[in-house]
Amino acid sequence: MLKKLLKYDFKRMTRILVYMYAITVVLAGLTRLVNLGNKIQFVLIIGKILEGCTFAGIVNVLVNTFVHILGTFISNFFKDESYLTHTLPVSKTQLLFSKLISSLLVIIISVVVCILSLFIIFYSPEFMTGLKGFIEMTVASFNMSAGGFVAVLVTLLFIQTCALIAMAFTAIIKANTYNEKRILYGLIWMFIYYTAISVINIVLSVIVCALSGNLAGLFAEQISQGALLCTIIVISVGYVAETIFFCYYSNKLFKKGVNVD
Amino acid sequence: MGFNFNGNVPIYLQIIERIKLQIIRKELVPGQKLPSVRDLSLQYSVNPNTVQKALAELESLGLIFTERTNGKFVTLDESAIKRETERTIEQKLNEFCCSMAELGLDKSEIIKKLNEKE
Amino acid sequence: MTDLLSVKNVSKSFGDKKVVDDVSFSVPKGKIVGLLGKNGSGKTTILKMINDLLTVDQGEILICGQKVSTKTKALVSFLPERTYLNPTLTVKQTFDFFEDFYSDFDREKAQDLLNDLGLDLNARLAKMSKGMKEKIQLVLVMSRRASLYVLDEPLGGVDPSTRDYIMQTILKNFGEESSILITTHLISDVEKIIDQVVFIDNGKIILNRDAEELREEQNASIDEIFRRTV
Repeated sequence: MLKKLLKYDFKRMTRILVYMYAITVVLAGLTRLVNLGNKIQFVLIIGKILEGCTFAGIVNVLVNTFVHILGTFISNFFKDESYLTHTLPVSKTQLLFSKLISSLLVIIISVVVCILSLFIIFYSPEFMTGLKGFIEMTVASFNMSAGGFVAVLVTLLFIQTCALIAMAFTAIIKANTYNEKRILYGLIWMFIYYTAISVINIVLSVIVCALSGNLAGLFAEQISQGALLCTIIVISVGYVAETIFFCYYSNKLFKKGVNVD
Repeated sequence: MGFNFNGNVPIYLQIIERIKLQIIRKELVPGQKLPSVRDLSLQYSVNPNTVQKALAELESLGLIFTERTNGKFVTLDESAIKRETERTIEQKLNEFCCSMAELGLDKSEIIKKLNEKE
Repeated sequence: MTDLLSVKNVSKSFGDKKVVDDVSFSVPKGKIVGLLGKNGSGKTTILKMINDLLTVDQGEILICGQKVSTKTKALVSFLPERTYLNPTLTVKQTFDFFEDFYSDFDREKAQDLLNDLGLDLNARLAKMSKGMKEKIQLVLVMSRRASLYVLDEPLGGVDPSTRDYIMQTILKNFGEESSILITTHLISDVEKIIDQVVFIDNGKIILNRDAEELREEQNASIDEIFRRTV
């Protein structure tokens, strides 16, 4: 059943996004083509305009990813469509997990499309060496390779995204346990949860750094390697734990039963 | 839907009346198969259970019979139909006479009125 | 006779307001039961509890002897008052959806009913009128070979010819092994098809009788009796 749910959720979320992906990539391609042309002023201007459009397209993709994820979640679970969603012979846990997984998938695709568009515009051997050089310079003092840094960064962003999606869904579910002002309560709970996880992550980082004797390194002008390592580990573990907590809590809230208008 | 029911009277009684009338008027001839409960229910737009009840009643009156697996048929017993026809005529006449009596007409006056009527 | 649905001493409040107050009734197998009441009498709230859209405060609801759960949802075919289909889908896609999730969905039956409506399988729901969407929903709901059909105001706000289509569709697909619970405030329209009537007012059951017996006893239509009692 989860597979079937995923299929419908994914289709629903990407129905319009697909066109936005296509437009952004095509704009990036056009920008690239025009930039290959004569370096006369007219062509340069067109190139700049196209580049601007591509950037707008990227922002549009990112914004719409969130709009579609949250929109699908709300309309499927709490609006008219909920009359069908909640009467399907499928468990609440599966309904919820399908939304979490498909949302994550859509975010990944959107990010990949955005990065791809940027590469289409800017890719060249010199650009890559420059990028690599920039990263290496940044991480030089940490005794880390550029590849390693990118891997850590991507992993961190990934688990953070998981935590944030689970958090947003939990806030929406929580807000819908109220009988009125649900949007307001949704925003309030999202703010509370976000503040809570940020504070927890920071406090835990400080504690772990202190315990491992890296406290000075944490507040130094240039963060020490030990402190950075501690922080990365704490934050990773923190986000994973928070994701699990939000999944568990939202599932529990959901199982208590929904109160649809 | 072809057939308007009077809401104040149980529907199964009205279905009985209707089928009885069809049998008396030979619209349904002896031995003829009746539509299935489902078809009748759709035809009259009524609950199949109600049709079932009406048919059971008609069967106990001896106007229809069930042949297992084949369905329900109009009785082959002409005398039963005749008996039911007489009874219905009698009943309707009584109703008619009663309402005339309420208007103060006696039997001879009723006959006179009937003869005057085209 | 087995009861496909039994509602036992169920209550539900919203804040201080008791919307459903100690309600008990049952739907036996093979029967069409009309849950009749004015707007706001608590009919829809009861249906929502049967379908797990609202939690029960007190009491118990059993469907084929089981408490409301994921399992019972496979046995119940629910037609709400809302248009609950994803508007971006085509009619065909909604059929696929039902086929995917309900093992008792009879696609051929759905196709037949759709043909009666003269609708194209590739028509998109977003381009249809509300009435049309409601008919598609009825087709989907009645094309399941469910044990219990729960229909909330299926005749609300439709024109007379549509009413006939709906009644015919309901009758056509109602089998001896299943039951129907139907709510409405337009009583005269469903009179002919209901076996049993349950009157509800202010969240309380005030009458629960066999329809024909009631007509015989009171020499009046259910509609009239309802107006007198409620």
